[in-house]
Parts: sequence; C-alpha cells; structure tokens
Amino acid sequence: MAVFPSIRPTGRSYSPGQFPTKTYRGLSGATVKRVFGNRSFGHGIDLQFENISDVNTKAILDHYYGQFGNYARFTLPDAVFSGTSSELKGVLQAPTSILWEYAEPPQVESVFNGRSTVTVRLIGELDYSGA
Amino acid sequence: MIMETSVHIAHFLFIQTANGQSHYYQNYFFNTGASAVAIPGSASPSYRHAPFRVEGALSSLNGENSLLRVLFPHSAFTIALVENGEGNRLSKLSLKTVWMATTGSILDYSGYTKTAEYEEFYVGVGASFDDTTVELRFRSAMDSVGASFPRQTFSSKNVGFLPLNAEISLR
Repeated sequence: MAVFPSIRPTGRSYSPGQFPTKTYRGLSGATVKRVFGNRSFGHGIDLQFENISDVNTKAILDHYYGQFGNYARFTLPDAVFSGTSSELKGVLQAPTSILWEYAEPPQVESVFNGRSTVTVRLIGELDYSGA
Repeated sequence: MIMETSVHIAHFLFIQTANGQSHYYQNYFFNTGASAVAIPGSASPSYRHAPFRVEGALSSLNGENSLLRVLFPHSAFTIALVENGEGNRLSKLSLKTVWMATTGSILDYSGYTKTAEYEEFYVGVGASFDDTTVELRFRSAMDSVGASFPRQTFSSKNVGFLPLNAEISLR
C-alpha cells in the first residue's frame, strides 16, 4: 500500500465522513430516515505545504503521478498529523475501512527560488477490494 | 413536533447460476471483521459484502412479470457471475429486503436486530455491461393467469409445454 510523502504540513483541515442515509419528509414536516450501510464515507483532508523545497514539491508530484491521479488509494503517514494527540490522530488518520485518494491534482505555487507552496485536497472513501 | 424514525435497510441476495454455483451477497455490512455475515438474529447462510444496488421491481393489476435490475460494479467476480449464468439467462435469484434496528453503534454488527423481512424470487433474463457497471436483469418467477384466476390451475392443457423462461400464458 502506497504512503503519502512524509512531509509536515503548515496547514491542515479535516471534515468527517457521512453515512449513507436518505430522508423522506411528509407535508406535515415529519421525517422518516433510512440507513443503507454501517460505515461512513467521504472524509476530507486539505493540506497546505507553504514554502517547501523543490525536493519535497517533487515528492508530492511524484506521488500524485504514482497513484495515477485519483485512481489508486493510499495511507497517510504520521507526519501529516503532526501536532495532534495520539487519540485524535487515530480518528483523523485512518477512519474505519477508509483509504485516501486525491480529490483534485495538487496545486503548486512558486513563491521564491527553490520554494513552492503546495495545496493538496484528499478524500477518504470506503475501499472495496472485491467479493 | 417533528417525529423522526430511523430504519436500517439491507438487501441479502442469493444467486444460483446455471452451473449450480451458489452466491450469497449483502450490501449493508462492510468490514465487520468477518468475511460474511448472516441476516441479524437468524441462522441464515452467510452473505459476503458486495456494493450492489437493486432497482425497478414493478407489479401491476394485470399481474405481468415484474422486472428487477441488480447493478454491480464492473469487476472480475461480477463478470464471472454473468458468464456462469449463461449471460444471466438461467440464474435463479432470491432477494431478501431486511429491515433492521440497532441498539448500539451503527458499526457493530452484533447490535442489529431484524424487524421485518420480505423475500422475492426471480429468474434471470439477461445482462448488460458498460465501463463501470454490470446490470443483471431478472423477472419474477411466475406470471399471473389473469381473469381466470383462481378458477384454473396450471396444466399442459391450458399452458401447453412448460416454457424455458418465466413467461407462461393461457391457451
């Protein structure tokens, strides 16, 4: 299983996944909900790497191409969650049955000689590997 | 006051292909720690998880065969499912729609109980493919005898030779 490059981000945001539910609402406003699965999906992590070296920028782009863009899924290393407690990291890093993929290509902004700011958006989906 | 009720709905399907192989799949319990699970609170066979979707069962006053579509991802095991069923023309399907409740965590299979179960039977009438999906088509196993129901019973006299597909009509 591939792992994202072990680079400490300068910014990070996380949004939890959702469960597969549907809601019917009657004219009275009463709702009836249905649940169609026991796992959450669609987790999100946005990472910002400000003023990183060309070596690290290339490592992220190499990883992106190595995963064929958003095709192959991967795990995230501890460095990505630097600054969080081990309890919180356990929740963020590997939600149950979740693997990460690129939501969009990394955005690279050149800021100085040999320095770039890279923004990466990832989504965590349930990984179905076959029956 | 807004009243809210939650129900957990799962499909458990059993397909027997033309070569006699049995396939048990369910589309709710993902990564429970076991490779396959029984219908909660029952001694049913164990069903493996597969991300399939069931659509399109119809019934009418005239009682024509109802049509059902089961959509699978386009992957190796679903292709095998089709090919072993001679293009899904000779498969038999038992579809159970199971309503469940849970007293604990939604993640915990052992906390689920079955509140209702509906079972339908179908026979395969074909399949189609596209780049992401394999569609298995089924019809209900028996047609209505229409206006004569229930005064007549099936016999070779009123339906002729028994057909090889699901379509039986009065003579």
